[in-house]
Amino acid sequence: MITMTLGGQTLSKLPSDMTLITPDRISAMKKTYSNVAFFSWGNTLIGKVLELKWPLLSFAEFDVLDTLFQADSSVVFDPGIPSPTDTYTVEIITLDGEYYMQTTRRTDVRMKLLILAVI
Amino acid sequence: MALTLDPTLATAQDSQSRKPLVELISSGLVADIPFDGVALTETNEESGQSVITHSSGRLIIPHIYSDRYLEYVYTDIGRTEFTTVQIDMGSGSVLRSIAVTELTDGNVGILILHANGATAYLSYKTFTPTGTVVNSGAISNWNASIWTTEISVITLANNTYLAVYGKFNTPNYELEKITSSDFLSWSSASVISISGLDTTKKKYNPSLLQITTDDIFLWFDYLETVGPNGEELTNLYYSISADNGTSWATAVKITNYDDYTEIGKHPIAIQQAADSMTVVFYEQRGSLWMPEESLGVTDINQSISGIHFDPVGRKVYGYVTYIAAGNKIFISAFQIDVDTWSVDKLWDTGTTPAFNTIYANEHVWYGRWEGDSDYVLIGVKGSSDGFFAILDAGLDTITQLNFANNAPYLLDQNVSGKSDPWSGDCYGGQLDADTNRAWFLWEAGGLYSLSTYIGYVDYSGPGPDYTFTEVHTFSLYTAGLPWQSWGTTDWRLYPEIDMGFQASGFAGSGLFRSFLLSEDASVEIYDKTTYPDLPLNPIGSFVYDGGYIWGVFAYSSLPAEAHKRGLCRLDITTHTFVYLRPSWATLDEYAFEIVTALGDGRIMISGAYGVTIYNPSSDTWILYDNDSVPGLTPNVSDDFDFLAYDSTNDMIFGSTSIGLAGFLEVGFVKQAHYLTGTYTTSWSFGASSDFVLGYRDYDAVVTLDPDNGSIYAFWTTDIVAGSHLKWDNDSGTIDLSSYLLNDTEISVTWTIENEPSSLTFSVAEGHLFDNTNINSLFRTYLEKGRKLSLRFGEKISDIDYWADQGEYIVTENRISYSRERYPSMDVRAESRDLFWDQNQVIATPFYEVAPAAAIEDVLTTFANVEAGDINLPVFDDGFSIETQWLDTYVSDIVNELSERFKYFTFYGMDGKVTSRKISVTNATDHAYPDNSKLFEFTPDDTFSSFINRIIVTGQELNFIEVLFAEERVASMQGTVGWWGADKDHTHWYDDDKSRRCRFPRLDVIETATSIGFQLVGSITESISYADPDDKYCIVEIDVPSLIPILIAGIALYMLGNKIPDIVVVAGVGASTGVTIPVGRWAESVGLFLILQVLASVGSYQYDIYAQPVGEVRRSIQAQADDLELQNKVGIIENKVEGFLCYSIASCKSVADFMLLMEQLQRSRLKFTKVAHLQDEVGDTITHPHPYSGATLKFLVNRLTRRYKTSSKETGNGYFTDDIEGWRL
Repeated sequence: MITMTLGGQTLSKLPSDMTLITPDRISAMKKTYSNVAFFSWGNTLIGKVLELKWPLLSFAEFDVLDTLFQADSSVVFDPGIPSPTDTYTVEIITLDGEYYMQTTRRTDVRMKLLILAVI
Repeated sequence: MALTLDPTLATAQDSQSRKPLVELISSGLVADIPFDGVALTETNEESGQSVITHSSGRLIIPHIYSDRYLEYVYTDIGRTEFTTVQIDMGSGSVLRSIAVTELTDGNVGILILHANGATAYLSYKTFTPTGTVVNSGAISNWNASIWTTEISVITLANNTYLAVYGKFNTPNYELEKITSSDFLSWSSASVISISGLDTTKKKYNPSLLQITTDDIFLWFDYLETVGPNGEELTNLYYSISADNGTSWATAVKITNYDDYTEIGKHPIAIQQAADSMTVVFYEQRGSLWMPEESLGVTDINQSISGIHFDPVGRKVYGYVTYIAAGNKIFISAFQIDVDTWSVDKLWDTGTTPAFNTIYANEHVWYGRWEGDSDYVLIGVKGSSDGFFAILDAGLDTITQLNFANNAPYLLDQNVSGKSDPWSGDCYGGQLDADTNRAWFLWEAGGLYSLSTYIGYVDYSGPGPDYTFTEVHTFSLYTAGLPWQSWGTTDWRLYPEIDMGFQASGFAGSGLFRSFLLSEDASVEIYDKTTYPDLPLNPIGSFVYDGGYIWGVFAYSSLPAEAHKRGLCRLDITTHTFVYLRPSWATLDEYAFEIVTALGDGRIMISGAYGVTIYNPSSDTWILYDNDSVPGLTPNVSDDFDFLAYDSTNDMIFGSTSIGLAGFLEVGFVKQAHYLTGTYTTSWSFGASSDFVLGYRDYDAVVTLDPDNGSIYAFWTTDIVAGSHLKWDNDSGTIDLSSYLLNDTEISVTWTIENEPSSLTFSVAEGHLFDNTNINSLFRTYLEKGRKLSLRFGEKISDIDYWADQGEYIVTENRISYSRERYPSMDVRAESRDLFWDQNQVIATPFYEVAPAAAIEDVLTTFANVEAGDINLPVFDDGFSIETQWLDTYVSDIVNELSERFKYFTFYGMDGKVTSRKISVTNATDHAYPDNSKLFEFTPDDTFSSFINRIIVTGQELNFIEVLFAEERVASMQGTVGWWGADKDHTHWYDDDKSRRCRFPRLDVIETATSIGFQLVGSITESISYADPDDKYCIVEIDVPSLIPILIAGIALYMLGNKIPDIVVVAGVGASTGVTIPVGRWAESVGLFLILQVLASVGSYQYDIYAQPVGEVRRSIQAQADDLELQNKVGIIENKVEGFLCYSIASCKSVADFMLLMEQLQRSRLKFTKVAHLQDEVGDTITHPHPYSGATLKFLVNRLTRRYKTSSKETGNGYFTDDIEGWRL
């Protein structure tokens, strides 16, 4: 069973979808007169944006996320996945969702985490 | 020579697939220590700082604010920004000392010594690292009147806490310790016993350090002796405990201050390595002292005779004269660097430049000459003619102003406009650097004159001729004032209010008056009759400030005068006098000497009792003497003469009879120093050096950067209004690479066209580098003048390979803040030759060396380039030049020399000055085999012309002699007579006897002829001698003497007078016959002769013509032709004056080179390719034409290397070279 924590808070409900935590390749190509030049600056997780999605969260579950978001400071994110096992210093850059009008629940909750560092 | 890369890196440059790297390092141009520091706080009530580096990486700097507050300052873990949390210790609290340490749980503990009312408290507080209070509590308390010192606390290796402070326990001054295992509950205080110390003497400023061996160092300053005025002599000591503070070893003294003028205080130590330790402390002095011997004084009869402070250059200038009986001659002028308190330079009659020897022989006098800015003025006092020297210390030149000729001193008049007749003395002069005017005051004596003349010379022109403008005259006689009011004692001009003032008079007959500068009119004459409140004795020194004249005078005990004591204040509007008596003593005669204004309304006065400052706004007096500032002067004399003031640092400069003192308004001179300890078998400590630049910067605390081991220092700066904190870091370098923005370009351009190389880039988190953001620790890293070292490289098999790309100086940075926009900073930097464009050389030596040697000497002598940073090749076709540069920028000298020999000089990739040859025959440095690296190719002759003939003129190196057309070079006229003469007249061909003329010829215009002369011949004029050096000839005028004839005539006349007539009887009778008057005939002949001789007087006149002899260099020229273009468009000619062109061959060489440049410009091309780190400006490169495939060879005259890291989103990164070249 995966245990995901964000800012020291264990998320009682795991996101249904989450961006794969794999490094991005920073590269560019430029055509030359008779060939092509390829420039690579390697692979990095720093600066990668992870999107986490929950189709439905209770008010309390959403409130945990919102409290972290409103704190406006970097937090530690432990995805709890088997591989990679790293934890990350992240910045919560967005938290959004929709009201589920019949109850206090939130639907279509989306959160974006910017990876600042691999711990 | 082309660059050589690491072979692996070089191979990777040819790949289609690249992994480029960039590194940008910021560092200071000069060593970080001594620190100048930047403000941590900008209010005026901070002190008592303590510092630690927290295990998280944060710096934590608690300090005292405004007595009752503890300010907890901390940084983020990356040490980029300060954040302050303020803790109120409660109403009535006065914090005395705080000490900080990291607790074993990661929190922060602070011990606080503070007082409230009659009770002193020792208490603790614990905090989270970000300043949230966790626990607070009291440890102990005692009577607040009991003497205590600062407190220090450390966390020991055994996870307990040890604190030490000093306290008076009758009858001993003791160091006490307390211990704790949790920072919450503390042991009772116990006395630390250290042998080797007198328990009755004070131990100040204890501080603790546990080193890697677990030994604990206890540092403190120990009071050795107390002087008669309460002054204290302290030295630095330490004691070591090897058992966690239970017992302490014998105290060890590490400084040797032995009198009260300099003492050591407040030691703080850090261990930087197992065998080295840095001890920071501050040295306290009464004053900065400059003995007069360092200023040129060689005997007791010489003394400092005037000083002033230049706030721009931060220098004190002044001059020394002889002051005893005899001529008060000039000895020396001096320049003192205030920040290093050292003599930069002395000038006298034997230095370069030298003052004229007239000043070493004539009266110059003391106190009569006032300089300004970086100018020093001296003159000959008492000279109606006027000879003055203006030393421009900035340019190191002396301008001489001569109001007359003075042959013995080789001084030629170069100042006109002084009206005649003047007689009397020049009293003195004052410079006004803002208007470039040298003002002078003359006093013309004489019973019916007693006049003053004031005027100025504008010395801003290049000279040699200047004009004196007379502004104001005044006559005591005309004004009906008594002669006893004669004799200037002081004078001041204030062009900003269009007024001047003059004090004068003998003892008992003081006179003061004001006058307009623009109207040449007196405004008010304050004489004793009209203004009985005027002091009886003349005002000896005065200053105008705030609408008042502030003057000093000699006291008089006469009944009507006895109440006039101290400082005289004259309101020039209401004409009322007020006398202000210093509060620091009750005297009649305060023996004041010189008055000056501080610029903030306060008045400063020197005198026999010290230096005093009067504050009109608070009506308060402060006296600076050896009692209030122990150690103020080495001989404990309080007698000061000339004054100057540094308002930026509140520093007073005062001269005495034995030297110059610089002391602070705020009290002692305190400057943090440091010394280094090393461990071999025991610890030994070396000599101390300056730790900070400021003279009121003290109580430094230090900690180490956890990443690079550099020192962070925080210290107190005193100002008049209080004190605040400054900080600095000696990291020296910071790697800015991680702050370079993706998707923005780093661009660096090199060119052979005499421009500095330039670097532009942008950094993220620009607010951190914003110099106006005082919360940032990074604020200085991209400030103007910072050095940047750039490297590009390649990651190859996970190994980074690098190639230097030069060093640059930050010239511009720009950041703007607005909401919703990321605060990035744009930075521009240029190679160090940017300084060459701004550095003007007044005069180089006359060089007779190879061109590269001349360039190296110019750079090292005039551009502050270290010899080790110059790597010039031997110039091909170089020869020993013979030339000198005057008033020329360094860049122009370097470029002229380089281009003359077909080179260009620049800062290369390795940060050294080098030169490369511009030639079509250069070997190929890099051959590109195909177009696989080429992005763009553009032939472009935009900047070319049609010039197809270059004519270069020059002059041969040696002079040849030439004769000019005959001209009249001298003339003569005179009178000759019967008395005869044989005269030789020497005729020089010009007044200074230097002109050379040849083949003199006499042209007789008029000569005397008379019968008398005809009798004996005639007058002859002839050139009897021509100087073989062609500088003069001698004309002989031969006049025959008629005196023998005159004597003969007189004799004949006299004889005839005695000869009777002869009567010849003939005819009939005895009475007939003929009388023959032989005597009268003889008389007549004699008389005729006499008259002819006496009439033989006449004039003669002649001119001498000759051919002037000159020496000229023969003009030469050569030309170069582009015949091909000439056939197409005709001859388009450009004629230039060649530099160092001494022969036709050299003219031809230069012409060929210049024509080549014109031709190359017509075959200019641009192309962009994948960056190749071997390529450099000046390289010769071959590359296939993209269409024809034909190999093109060109010389790279401009290279712009562009690097942009891509982002995932744009994929728009690159690493390219934009090349502009000349096709060869």
